[in-house]
Amino acid sequence: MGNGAPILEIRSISKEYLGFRAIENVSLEVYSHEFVSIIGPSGCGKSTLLEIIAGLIPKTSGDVFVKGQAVKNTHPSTGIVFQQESIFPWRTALENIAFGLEMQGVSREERQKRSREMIELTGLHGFENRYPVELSGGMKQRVAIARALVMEPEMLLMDEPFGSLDEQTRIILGEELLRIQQEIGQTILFVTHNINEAVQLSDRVVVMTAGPGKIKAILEINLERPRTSEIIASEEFGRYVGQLWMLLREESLKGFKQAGQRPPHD
Amino acid sequence: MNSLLKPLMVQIGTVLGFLIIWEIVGESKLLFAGIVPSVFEILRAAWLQLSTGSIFPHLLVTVYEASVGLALAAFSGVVLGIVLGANPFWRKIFEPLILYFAATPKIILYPIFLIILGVKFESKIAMAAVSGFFPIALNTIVAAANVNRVFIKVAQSVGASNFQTFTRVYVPSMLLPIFAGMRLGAGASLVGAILGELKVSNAGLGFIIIEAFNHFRVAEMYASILLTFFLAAMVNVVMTLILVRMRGFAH
Repeated sequence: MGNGAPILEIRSISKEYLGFRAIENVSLEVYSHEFVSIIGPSGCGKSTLLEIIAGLIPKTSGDVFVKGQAVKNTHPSTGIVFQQESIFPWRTALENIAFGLEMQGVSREERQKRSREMIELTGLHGFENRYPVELSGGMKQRVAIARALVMEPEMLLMDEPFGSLDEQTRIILGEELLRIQQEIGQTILFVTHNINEAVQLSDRVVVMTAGPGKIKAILEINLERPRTSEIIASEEFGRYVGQLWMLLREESLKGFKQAGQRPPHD
Repeated sequence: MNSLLKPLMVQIGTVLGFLIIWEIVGESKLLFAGIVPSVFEILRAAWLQLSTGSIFPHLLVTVYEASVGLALAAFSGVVLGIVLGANPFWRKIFEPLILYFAATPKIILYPIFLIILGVKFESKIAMAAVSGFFPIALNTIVAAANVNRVFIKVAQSVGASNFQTFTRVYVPSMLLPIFAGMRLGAGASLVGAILGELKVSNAGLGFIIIEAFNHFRVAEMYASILLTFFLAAMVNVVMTLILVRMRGFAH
């Protein structure tokens, strides 16, 4: 952590839409190999923030730099994994993974080779030629992760990627994600509303306030690495979860009151 | 007995039962005397039409009119459907109009087609095209509007061009619902063409049905109706088979 210049640098980002202030003055730095989570009540603009970093939506003010380069449009240095079903039902697992490379005009052989590497890395061996209908929710998210990683992004952005999975699958996939991160030294920015998940995975957890989303606190998670899901049983894990909840409690209550006063999104 | 076989048995039983009642009604001469010919007479007439080949030119004309009409309907319906489906503003303006028109019997336009295009096959093609257009256009509008936003974000995030996003995300997303529209359109086009033939024409299945009617050749009329029914059923079966195959891949 903290080795050299940050991979991602966000300087006082704000975002307004439909006259509503979604994000206010958020600044954050993420360093190489780091796993940073953003947590906050629903409607705090955490998904919006991620899409701004990915260059998918414009910001109202502020700057985003990835590896020192200002982000204006979508750019190959970030890859994104969504919560919703995002893998194409008309493509097999392997064809889904190769999608980005195909769009970039990478040769067929190279595509095959790199996609197959991702199949191995994400534990999809034997599922390469399956269509999404034949895959479980967890397997589909593995494909989505592989599809983002095959582009070799500097920064992997994940928007509640395990949000629609059951708790056991979520924990197992979290463990898998940490193994993958370790193996390739991936830098990850991870949006979640799940406190346990944030503690299980992160080096640092950014706590956001209820709308407008501001950074309330940043909690360092000093748990051992490499980390397996067994960490959940440890005493420190419980302490971190408790600490996070104390930070989040007030914001969640505020979030409830605000619900209905803002335009629908998230 | 397997669960797929059972409905088939009931279907066959229903048809057989219907034929038996038909035969009894016809032969007893108690009801509808003279207009309910024996099933065997109808089959003989149908066999005659097929064995002499007298029906084939008419079959060809109808198939030609319906398929050219369908092709026109498919092209215009898909293009317009994508434009409207992808632009909420234009959709809001034109979709209601298309919906109202879709509910109108297209035959009311036939006199106009006859005046402009004449009594030959061109006016029937127009009928087929207009009939097939609405289900295809309406299905395409919904298909284009319902392309998953997340899929588009995925394409953008890996730097796909607009053209790539269209061909690799929009087109495969829309293929199934558009083809479902085409299946409905194929049936509607056939109806449109035959309806035109029944009214004013000199060839086609509709024409020989109405000719047999005018000359009170009852068995021949029923035979032609039967063959028309088989044509319509075939079109539906073929389109359904293609759709099922496509579904096998996609959803």
